[in-house]
Amino acid sequence: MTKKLICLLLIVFASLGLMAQQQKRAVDQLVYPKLNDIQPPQVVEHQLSNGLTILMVEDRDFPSVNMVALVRGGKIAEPKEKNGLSELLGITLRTGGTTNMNGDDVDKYLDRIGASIDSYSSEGEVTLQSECLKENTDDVIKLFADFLKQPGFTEDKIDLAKTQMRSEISRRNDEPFGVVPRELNKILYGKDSAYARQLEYADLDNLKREDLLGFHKTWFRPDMTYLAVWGDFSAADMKARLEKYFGGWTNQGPKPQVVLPQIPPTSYSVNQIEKSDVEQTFIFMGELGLRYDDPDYAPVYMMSEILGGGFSSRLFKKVRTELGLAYGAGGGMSPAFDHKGMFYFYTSTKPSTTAKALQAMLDEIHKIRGELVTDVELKTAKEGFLNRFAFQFDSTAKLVNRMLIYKFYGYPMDFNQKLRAAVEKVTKEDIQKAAQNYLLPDKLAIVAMGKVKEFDEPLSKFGTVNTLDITIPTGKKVEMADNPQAEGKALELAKKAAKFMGEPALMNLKDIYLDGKVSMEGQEFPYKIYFVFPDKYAQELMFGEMSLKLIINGDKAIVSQGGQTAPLPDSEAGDVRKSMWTEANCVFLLKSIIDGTVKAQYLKEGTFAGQPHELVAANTPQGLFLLFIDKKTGQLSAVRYESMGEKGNEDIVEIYQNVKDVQGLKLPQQVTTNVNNEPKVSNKIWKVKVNSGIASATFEK
Amino acid sequence: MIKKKTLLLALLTLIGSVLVFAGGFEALENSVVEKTLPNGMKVLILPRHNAPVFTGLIYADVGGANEQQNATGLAHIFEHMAFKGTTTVGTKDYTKEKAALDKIEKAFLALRAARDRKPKASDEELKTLEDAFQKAQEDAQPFVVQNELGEILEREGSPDLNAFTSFDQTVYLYSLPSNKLELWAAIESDRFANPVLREFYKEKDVIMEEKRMGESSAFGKLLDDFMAVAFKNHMYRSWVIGSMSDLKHISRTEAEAWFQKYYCARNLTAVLVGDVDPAAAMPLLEKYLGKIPAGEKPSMFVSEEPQQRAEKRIIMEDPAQPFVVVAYHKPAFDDPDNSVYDAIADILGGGPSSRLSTSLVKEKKLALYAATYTDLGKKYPGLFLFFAVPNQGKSPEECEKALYEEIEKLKTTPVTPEELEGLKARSKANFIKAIDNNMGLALNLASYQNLTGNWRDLFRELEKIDKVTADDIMRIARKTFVGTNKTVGIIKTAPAKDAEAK
Repeated sequence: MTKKLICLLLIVFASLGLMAQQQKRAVDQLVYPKLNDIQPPQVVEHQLSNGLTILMVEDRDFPSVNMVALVRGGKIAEPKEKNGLSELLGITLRTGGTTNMNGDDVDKYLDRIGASIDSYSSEGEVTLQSECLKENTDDVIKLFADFLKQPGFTEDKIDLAKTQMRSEISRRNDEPFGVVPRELNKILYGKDSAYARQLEYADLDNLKREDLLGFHKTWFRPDMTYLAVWGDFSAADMKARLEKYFGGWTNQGPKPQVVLPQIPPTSYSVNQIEKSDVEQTFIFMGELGLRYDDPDYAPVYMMSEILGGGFSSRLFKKVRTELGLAYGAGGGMSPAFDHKGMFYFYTSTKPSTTAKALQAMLDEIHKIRGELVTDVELKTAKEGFLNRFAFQFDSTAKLVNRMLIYKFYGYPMDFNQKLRAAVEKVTKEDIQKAAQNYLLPDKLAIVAMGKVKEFDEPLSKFGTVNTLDITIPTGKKVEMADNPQAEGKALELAKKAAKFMGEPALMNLKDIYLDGKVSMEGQEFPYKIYFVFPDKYAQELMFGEMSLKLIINGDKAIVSQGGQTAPLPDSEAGDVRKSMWTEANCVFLLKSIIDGTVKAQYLKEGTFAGQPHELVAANTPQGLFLLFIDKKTGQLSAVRYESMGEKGNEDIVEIYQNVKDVQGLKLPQQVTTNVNNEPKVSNKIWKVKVNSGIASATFEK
Repeated sequence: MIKKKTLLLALLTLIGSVLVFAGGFEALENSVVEKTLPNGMKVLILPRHNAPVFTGLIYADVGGANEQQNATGLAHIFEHMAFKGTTTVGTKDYTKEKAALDKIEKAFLALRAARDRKPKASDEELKTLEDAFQKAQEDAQPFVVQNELGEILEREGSPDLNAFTSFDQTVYLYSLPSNKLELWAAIESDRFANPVLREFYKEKDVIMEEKRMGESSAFGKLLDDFMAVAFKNHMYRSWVIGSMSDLKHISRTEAEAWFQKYYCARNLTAVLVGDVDPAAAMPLLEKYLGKIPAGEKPSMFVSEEPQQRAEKRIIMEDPAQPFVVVAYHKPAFDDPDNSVYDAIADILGGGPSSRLSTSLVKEKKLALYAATYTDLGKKYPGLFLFFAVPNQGKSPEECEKALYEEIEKLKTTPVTPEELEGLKARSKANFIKAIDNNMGLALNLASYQNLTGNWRDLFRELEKIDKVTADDIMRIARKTFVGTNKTVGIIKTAPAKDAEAK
């Protein structure tokens, strides 16, 4: 026998041996019977003469009845200047009761019969859903219809909802997996897009009851509403009831146009968020994806399953199983029905393996574009999907909701069957093409949040790093509409104040040091201020033997005590940054208005301490500051702004007194601070040094 | 000609459907087929033919509470290990792999012994042992077929492969298309008869990341510390995921011992719900699950928590938003008064018109959300919780005070007949939601079978709720909600305004 033949035989025998070993396994020898047919329940479709679309499914398994109504509109229907209206409506639609029964009475009634009705708003629709025991069907349908036709939107519930929404805003940074996807959304869809924009406190102040009524009048109409009912009833009987309670609902006026937000093109970016109170770095990255009905969806779906979906996925196997870096790792492509969805990939790992995990994820993205997937992977992904198909029918609720959404978006009712057929045809080549065409590395946006200082490598390894500030704005969100006249006058007044203070000393100011004593709540503490313009600032407070230092150094905010440093929490850092504007009679704020880095507008004339003053509003990243400039002398007497205290928003006024000349600048020796109109804090300044050169080490720790 | 058989069949169908409508659950209860296999494993099958799918679960009557100090986290570690495969699944050559795994274990035990030493072992010694341990792990990798068990199940159509560990139970559950019953039986029997704890130390790293994930929220951190305060002796004091020190310390040998003790057939229950024919399925299950050794039912002794003598309080400062939880010790799940606790939990916290929602959320606007939870710890005496998420600008202490006002009312004023009526309606609606799906049914059947000794108790719950009186509620409130029985946990948003120069 030739050597070659021997080798061949050896290989054959060896593989036979291996196969034999595998074939001994019980799991490989199983023969499965044919799967029982899927016998989905019948969906009865009906449309009322007013255009209301209805789907009904009889289900006698349990003595209950369920309803879901989808009303076209949602966030995308919000007028731009009414951010938050759809969310407010989503809450108050239910809590505000109907014109026939107030919200509290509805709550008591539903609780007594063990039923529920809930509402919420999403991107493209407002949803109302109900569940009840069979014996209450008629009453609950009537109530449900009333909610859609004539909601109450009572003021007390609007206030309550706003209180709750404020609380949600204050909590929005508490859960890491709530933060990173939100930030990615803003990057991919645009921070002002209805698909991404977040709610701020100031938005809520702008929402009124008539806005809710207006939205309801425009968008809640039977010809844009889709209703599904399933449970223990007969279709004929249910049809009659729905006709009775919804038949009289009319369409008022012309149909509103659904205008989808424009989605801007995106490009590669690396975005970092400093968060000190987490034990892991939370990584969330992605890019724009496809619509659900895109012809390329099936191979993209299979590709994203192989890459990030489940135990078998490459990301799971690499980041969790092989490298042990994470508990959760994966992702996929989340399609939207009527606009581009998104690819998303995530993991979370301890700080010292951040770059390692991120690199591993990026390597997998490149790999699936560069090579064909294996036959085993293709088989697992396709067969997995096809074998799971039966689960799309394992509950009536699932089935009905799917049919309803298809109807709502104008998809064919057998869309999932069509998708199944498309998946069956997907090849390895299709998958690679899908990856190359749609999973584009130069369009990836990466967001990483955690203890930046403890990362194994700086994220600049992956590209230019943008630092995202997730601080929740406390003050009024100000959209200063362009008003050149008001801006011109503000500049004029700022220069007048600067002249009073001392020109050119003010414009030549580079750093300032203060030494003084602060009194509050019956106690006194010595303190020092170090400020090197524009972004190095430290407040040092002495408590007996101890000293505590709050430091801002560019992006960084730290607290230092006895040489030990720790990051300063976001809300505290915000307050310290506010101080930078107002320190020493607002010198830095005045300079910034004059050199154009801060926008300001003249508001009006007012009175302060009995004297006529001109009021100028300055808009900074830390909120709005109102300057009181003496009409006669030009002295900047006081500044007013808002701050978040323990019990809510506080109104702060700093009053500058006992002005004295220091190296050419008139600066106050006394500052009194009023909180909500009551004097709370008093500062006495003993010493001021100007342009003395402050060591940078002062701002390190 | 009308045949008698046809008439009889029609009559039976009519009766059958009436039974389904009346109350609605007798048919379900009567469909359950139960059997104890020769090896002591209890099997329950409940056929439901809505769709050609089923959910199968294996319930191990063991949880975090059964662990010992210095080895906390073992129950959950083993749960992870149960996905790593067997002597035939997940390996390219078990004979060679076994030898490699034994080498890893030897290396780890030597390393651990050195790490544990006091006075400290030298850095050189530790480095040598660490390198040997690393190398041993690398040498074993080539034999591993990673995630093969999960892959097989995902490929064959499981949409929900999962498991969880609580204080009282470890459950492995997933669904499959109904023609793959034999696959379920083959995999489950293999995994609990011949598990191989491969990639053990790598998986511990994953678990440590899971712990870090939980500790990245103030709420997660608070609960962990809270349990340690509420319980001074009973192992409910140890959060299921275990301490970081124990997680680093535990060896594969201990995990294997855990498995030997708690995963014998006598300590396992198998439940199947869905498109399954019990007559055809049972012999199949016997054939496969019968391979799991009978073993001995392990002792369920956990050192008891003595009566609490003083109020306990824990305050955590964190940048996150505030939170308050108030807990009282209560008897175990199988106590005759358990339904009274359920009733209190529902009337006080079970809906937008509940007493806590009305008072704290609507009227006083103190809380974004206020609710109750009655089952923190079931097998042994556990906790009844009240908690509130304060609104922005409101303090946890204000919410705490409001909670006590509601609790005091419960002790002095009987609940109204309307409230009891609502309780019954809501309990029925919630019951339907819990059992209107295969997985919910399977989990509930398994839990009741193990916690009360009889799965039929699931279907008795609504009757027990029906029997709860206003007097019962007042009695239990007076007995339970007393200061000496109380533990309070608070998240206080990070340091208040300091003496800034203003």
